[in-house]
Amino acid sequence: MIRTLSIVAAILAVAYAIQVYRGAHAPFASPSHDRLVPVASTAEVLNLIKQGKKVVFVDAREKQEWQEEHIPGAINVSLREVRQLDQRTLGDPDLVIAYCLKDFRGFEVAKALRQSGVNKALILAELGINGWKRQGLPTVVEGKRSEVEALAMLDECAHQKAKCQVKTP
Amino acid sequence: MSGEDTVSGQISAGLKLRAHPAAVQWFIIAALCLPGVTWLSTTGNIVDYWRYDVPPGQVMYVASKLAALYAFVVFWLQLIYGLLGHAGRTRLGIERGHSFHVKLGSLMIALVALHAGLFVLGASVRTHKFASQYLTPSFASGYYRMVITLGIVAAVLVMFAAFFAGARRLWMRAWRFGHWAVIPAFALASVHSLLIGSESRIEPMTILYTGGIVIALLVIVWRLRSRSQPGSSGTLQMSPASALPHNAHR
Repeated sequence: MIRTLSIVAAILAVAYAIQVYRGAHAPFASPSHDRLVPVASTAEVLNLIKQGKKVVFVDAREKQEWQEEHIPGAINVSLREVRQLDQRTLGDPDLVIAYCLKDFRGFEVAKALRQSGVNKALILAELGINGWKRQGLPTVVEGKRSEVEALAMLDECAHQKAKCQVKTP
Repeated sequence: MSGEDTVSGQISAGLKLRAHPAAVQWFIIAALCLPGVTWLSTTGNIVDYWRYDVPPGQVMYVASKLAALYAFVVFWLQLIYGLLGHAGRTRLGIERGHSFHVKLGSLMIALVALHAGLFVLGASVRTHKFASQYLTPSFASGYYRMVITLGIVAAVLVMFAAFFAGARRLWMRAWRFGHWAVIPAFALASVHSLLIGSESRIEPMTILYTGGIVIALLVIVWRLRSRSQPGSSGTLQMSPASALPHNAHR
């Protein structure tokens, strides 16, 4: 038993050392401003949308959760799919916002995206779709609000913040 | 050859691992390494979570995921260990006695408690309020809550099975039926893990989950066949408690 556990511990130690080495030598975006993953407020995101910048939302949850409700225009990429993600599907974004409910998974996906070379990946300061909704921002809701309707509402929020409850940064 | 015979043959082939105890040992080593290696591959250098600013509760969340992955593997090992009984374990060269079964079960319960506790604590820290919703079963609040509810039910069944094992001196025979709750618990835990776990469907873990579930099913079938054919092998009258020495009830 002790021999088995010793071998397991040795293998895990080597795996950890490899991760540390990779982290130190990978050509991905380094943490900035003392944050492992940078954040952007919803107000900053709306300003970018208003300026016509391309903001891509990445929903880090399971497909069924995405189908139930998501931020308008969001694509569904879970943590296990990040490595297989064809970055061309993101286009040439000005900002990539990864999110989930409260950004446990969103944070991990944003971190993985940055490690894959998507330097503009970050999370919402308000943390996840729950934080997004608390700001009064629209979501696509299965059977209740379509993608087109939600995108129109988001565009309206970006241009007339008073119509939503967005707080200024 | 009938389907039943095929299953029986596959199980018999599996039991021939007795001739290769090293293979069994390396299989267990692989099962114990894969969750850690997979978790490290998605989490990276855990020290970064302290070195840099991360959202509140994130460390608890990633630690909760690690506890969950190991809870599943330990649950699986515990299930197989119990179902094989003394004879099956001896054939595979993994017999460590009943006390090992108790220790492994205790470790599994500790890991389940750690997984649930860290997740609820992390969510509470993140949202600045006690995240009681993750401890309350609900099948009608969307996919996420539904899958979490499966995990809650699995944990309750594990506690139920452990309670019956602990109270075996009070119910000499009946406790065995209560202890069989580990099987639906394992099924629900597997579904919970596969439907919501970030790492459970990453390639090496998929192999572990699929292999683990298939082996568990084969051993359950073997066990049920053994029970229905008294006298055909030395393990026929075994129940989940068959690992107990004969004097264990005294």
